[in-house]
Amino acid sequence: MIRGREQPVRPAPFRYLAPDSLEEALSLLCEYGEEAKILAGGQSLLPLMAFRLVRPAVLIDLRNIAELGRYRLEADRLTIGSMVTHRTIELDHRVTSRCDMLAEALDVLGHAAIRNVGTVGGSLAHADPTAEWLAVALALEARVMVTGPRGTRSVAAENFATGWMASCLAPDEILTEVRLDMPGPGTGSAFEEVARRHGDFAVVGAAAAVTVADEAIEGVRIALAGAASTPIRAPRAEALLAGSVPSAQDLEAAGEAAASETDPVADLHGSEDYKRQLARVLTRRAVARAYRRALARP
Amino acid sequence: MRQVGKPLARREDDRLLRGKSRYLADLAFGDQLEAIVIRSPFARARILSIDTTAALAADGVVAVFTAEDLVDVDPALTRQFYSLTPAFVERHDVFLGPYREPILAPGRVSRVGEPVALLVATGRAAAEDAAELVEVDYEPMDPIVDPLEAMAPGADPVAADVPGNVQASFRIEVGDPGRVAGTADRTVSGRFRIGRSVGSPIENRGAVGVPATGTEPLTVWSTTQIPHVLRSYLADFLRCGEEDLRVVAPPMGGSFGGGIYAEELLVAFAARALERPVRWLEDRRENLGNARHSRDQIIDARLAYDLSGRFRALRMRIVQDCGSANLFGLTLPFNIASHARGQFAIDHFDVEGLCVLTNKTRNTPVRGAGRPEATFVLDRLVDMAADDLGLDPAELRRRNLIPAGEMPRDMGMLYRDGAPMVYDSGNFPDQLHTALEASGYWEKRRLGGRAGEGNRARGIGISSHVEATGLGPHETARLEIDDSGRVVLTCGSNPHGQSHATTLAQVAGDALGVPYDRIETRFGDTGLLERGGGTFGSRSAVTAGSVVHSAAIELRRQVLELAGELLECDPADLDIRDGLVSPRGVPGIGLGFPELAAAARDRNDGDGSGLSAHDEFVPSTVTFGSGTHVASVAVDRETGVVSLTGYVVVDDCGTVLNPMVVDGQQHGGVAHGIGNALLEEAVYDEDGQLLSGTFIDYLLPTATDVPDIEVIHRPHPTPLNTLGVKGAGEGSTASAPGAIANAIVDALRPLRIEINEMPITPQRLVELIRAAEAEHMVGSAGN
Repeated sequence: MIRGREQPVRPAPFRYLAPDSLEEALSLLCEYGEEAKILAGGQSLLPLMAFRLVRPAVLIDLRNIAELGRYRLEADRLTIGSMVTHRTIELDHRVTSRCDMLAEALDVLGHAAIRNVGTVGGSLAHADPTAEWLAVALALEARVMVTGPRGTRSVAAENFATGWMASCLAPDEILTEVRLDMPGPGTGSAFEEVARRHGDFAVVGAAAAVTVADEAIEGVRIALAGAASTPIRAPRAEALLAGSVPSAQDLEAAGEAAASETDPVADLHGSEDYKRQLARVLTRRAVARAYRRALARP
Repeated sequence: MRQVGKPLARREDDRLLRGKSRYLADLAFGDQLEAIVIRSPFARARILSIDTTAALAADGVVAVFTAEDLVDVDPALTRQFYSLTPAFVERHDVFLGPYREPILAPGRVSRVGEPVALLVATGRAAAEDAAELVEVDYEPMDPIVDPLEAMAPGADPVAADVPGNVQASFRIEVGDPGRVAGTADRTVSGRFRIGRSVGSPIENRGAVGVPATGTEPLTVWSTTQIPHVLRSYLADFLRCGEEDLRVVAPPMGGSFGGGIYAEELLVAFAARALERPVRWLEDRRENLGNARHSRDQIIDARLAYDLSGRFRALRMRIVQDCGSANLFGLTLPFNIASHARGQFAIDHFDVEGLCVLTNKTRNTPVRGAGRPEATFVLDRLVDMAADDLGLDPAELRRRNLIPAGEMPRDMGMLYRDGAPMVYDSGNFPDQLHTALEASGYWEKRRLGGRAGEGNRARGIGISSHVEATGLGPHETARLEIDDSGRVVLTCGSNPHGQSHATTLAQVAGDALGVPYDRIETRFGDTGLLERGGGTFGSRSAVTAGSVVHSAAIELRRQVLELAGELLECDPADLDIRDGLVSPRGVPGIGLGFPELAAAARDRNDGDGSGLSAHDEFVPSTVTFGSGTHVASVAVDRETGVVSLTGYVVVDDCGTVLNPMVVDGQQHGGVAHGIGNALLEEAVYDEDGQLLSGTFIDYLLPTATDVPDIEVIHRPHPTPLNTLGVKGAGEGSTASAPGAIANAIVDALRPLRIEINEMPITPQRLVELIRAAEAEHMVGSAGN
């Protein structure tokens, strides 16, 4: 008997390429077309490949493209390269101290082991409707930068996800960075989520950013994860709250309004009704906390 | 120094924590081949044809076996795991129909995942790629996934030889439950649904068949809890003698129940046919769907009691969903029945148990095995009765516990092993008192039940259970001193996380005067020991502990006799300390085991030391451990999210061999019970497809779901074995669901919800809360 370690192989056969530049990556993407998949952190793609639910003939890994692995905070603008890991942002106190919503979202995004490897761009591009990053991007009205053979374009977060795990990315395009404006003075933010266990996919999550002037809500942005086939804004709830000094009843009404704007998809962890209930409660709680925080940082 | 009872460090941990354990997948056997099982995608279908041509032509493929190829072997598992005595069958009105589980599906499949073919290739990648080329033409039929539908008149049989789909049944009657229940002042009742769960060991299953050589018989390495039993099933299957076979269980990454599997037999068949080692390693998706599941009962139960709060009668009907085949016969529902009265004095009792076949994965006893189900139902009924009577649950429990002075107590029925079922030892009132004190029960009860900050309400709940442990039929051990003077312990019960190498060595070490960490231990190899029972049913401390104890005492006698001869003194005047045989009162001088071994070898003309003791323990029947748990929870009334905020376990497993090991069993058991209570559920759709086929959907408790657990030992040794040991492996799984359910109900006290289903998911809880709130509002409006 000989001792050794042989790992079972799971995915269907594929070629692995790791170009050094964005240009090279784009040209490989052109060459292989729909046969190719971009590999970022691999936290979603590799399990799908292991189940052979996705069978790309070619994987183009972006790990060697240095520019995609950088992020910077300039004044109020946070620019994150698509290959930056969740953990990198999570551990940068300069960033998280500027945005409670982001800090709270990163705290419930998977587990540390996943955040160490998973990337911001990968999470956005995967377009899972329960993804925390998409909800945060929506609530902060972020812009997603996309590069392809026709050049670079800037996509508003609300136009990015187009359906269940579908985005506006063309097969020959690569998501390069996301640009977020950090909440300024007078703005508070919060992220609320219910998951079955800590670190699980959200059943429903709610992100809220509230700007106050003289204790009244001047502006509010609410985004929900897991409440429809894409992440959604809740404009009716936002309209209800605008201009108010929110009472408990106002907050409850905003929660009701947000719930009415959802179109949840039932799964093993929640019926449509249950997810609507969560949208109602979590919206109310996120707005209430964001409002309290806004009052505390004039 | 006495070693038993001390929290000595586990000898296993160093190896495990350094990643040095060698599991089945770490072993390589020369020119081994890799097998994968091609499984049915349908819950019920006829197989019209199987075309293996393309697969056989693929790179690296060596063979594809289907049912047609299984010649000169038994084509199906048919021997049930346990045998029953005629007296038991007569007394409890037992019906036991046939059991048949094909090794490879012969023309029809009766569950998703049923093995249809075994593909063998030079490597795993080649095997997986080629598996997609095996073409099986199925004609799907409507499956039966609901056991109540399966029992309905006219339902199609899941198995051809089980018309009506009731594969086994029994009836227990103690006292006069019909009359007493009819005359009692009050009753509470409910239909309880216990979700289906999966054992989920960290290491998936696996098996390697290695063909016979000139010196070694055909050998199967398997992640089995029962190597000797597997050998006997292999002998049946291969139609050979047990002496022509060897089964080895390597170190295992856990196991929580299972039995004998077709895959273990298939690797032996393939290895014999191909004359090369053949390895099968299960992946997680296979495990979640194909390792036998557990729980999954519908239990109708009614508790009758007087206005004074005295329990009079308990009546129960259990429908056990067995899936497509039932290796374990009555085991699960009968375990529910035999643990159904828990720690309470209930003189009038009846149960009807039905084992029903459906087109789902087969069921098996998994950790707890009927005890969590029974305890959950009883705990809920007791708290419902307390609510009905306006009594605190703790007070109602106290009034009905069997007093310590009434032990041992004959429960008026037979256990599965055919012996009268007797609670042999324990002090239940003391256990309850201790648990209430340690958990701050009365203060928490006073403060609980109100919605606090963030709409979180706090509650506290109690559960108490009994646990029959140490099931027979037998266990075997050998203790010997090898040529170098080392003590070697070989036992038929093999560990997969239970700490045998520590606790059994403590037992042997005390008898022999040798520190536990100087005793070599060997387990899980039929080549080392002719007979063995295995590790299941919380039996090892009782059965293996007892036989190691008696064998060690015999070896001690041999050692002292030899030393007496050599030292020319009476063996009675000698003592053994720290591996040194010395005259009493003169420690530090004397003969060491190496010198004794050398002398013994000389005496035997060089043919081994001859210092060896072999024994077998046959328990008279099971012994009853017990425990009381108190869980504290916070419930988010709007989201249904439950957080555990405190947990106390008071446990009686008799003599505690190693308190740290028992604490570990309690922690693991509570974690398992938390999973069953709140998270784990194997879900099938109406087509018999498993929806919870990954760990994204089948939710095990993780570190953040398990609170700090305070474990308090209140041991009452059993008179049934010399050590006084009772099992400790499963009890904590039994009480966690009931304690948590009762705590949730307590937190939502003003709403008076009833929880009768587990797992208690946030969605189900929100539905219960909303229904109760609606009723409350209707009630208020009416006033």
